[in-house]
Amino acid sequence: MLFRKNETMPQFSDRFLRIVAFAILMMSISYASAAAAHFVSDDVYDVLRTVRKIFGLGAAGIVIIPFLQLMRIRFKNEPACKNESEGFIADVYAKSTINAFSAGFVGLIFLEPFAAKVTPDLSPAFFVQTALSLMMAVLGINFFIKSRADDGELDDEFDDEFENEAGPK
Amino acid sequence: MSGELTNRIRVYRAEHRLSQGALAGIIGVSRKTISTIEVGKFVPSTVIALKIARHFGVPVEDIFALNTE
Repeated sequence: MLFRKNETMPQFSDRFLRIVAFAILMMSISYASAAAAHFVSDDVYDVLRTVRKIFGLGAAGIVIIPFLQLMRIRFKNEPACKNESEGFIADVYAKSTINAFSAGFVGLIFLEPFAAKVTPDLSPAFFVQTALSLMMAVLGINFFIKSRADDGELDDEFDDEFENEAGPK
Repeated sequence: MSGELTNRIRVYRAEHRLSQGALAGIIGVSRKTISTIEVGKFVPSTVIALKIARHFGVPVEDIFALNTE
């Protein structure tokens, strides 16, 4: 049994990926807060620390239940998951991860001279947090922009046409 | 060789009186996948293309073609 009534495995898989992408965006904010905390006063530091915790825990919170659900389905009925990696949303997610990796790579290349010359006293944690925040932001934003592709709204009309022609059963 | 992949899924669906959701259920993908294939936004895997062709009982080239113009 899945989360929503009449939800098929591919639909659940798509929804799961959307939740994961949203959680990754939340993690991006969490890491950005952690990175920004290196430059602020103690008062603002406490605020940023709270923001980091809220977004970090929120991300874990929204993913954990669908993740357990997915694991349960995988262990129970593996054949139902065979096509889940071949759909449009899974493809967009995979491409978004590649873009995120590329952004992280380029970001680190730009951060490297910055680290050596401008901010030699900064903790390495800052650079790790910045790179992670950048990569996660690119992944999440890229995913949501590409996954809301115009996919032919005319289909609803088409479906209605079939249903009307079929008549009541 | 480069070209745009075109398809006739909508035509075959109409012939078989099948909605996107129904075809998606048969193939084992989401409706979004079928609709994005139809509008040319998403190029399906070979497995999905073959499943669609098999469902309609035609060779895969009847449904998918490379537009080289």
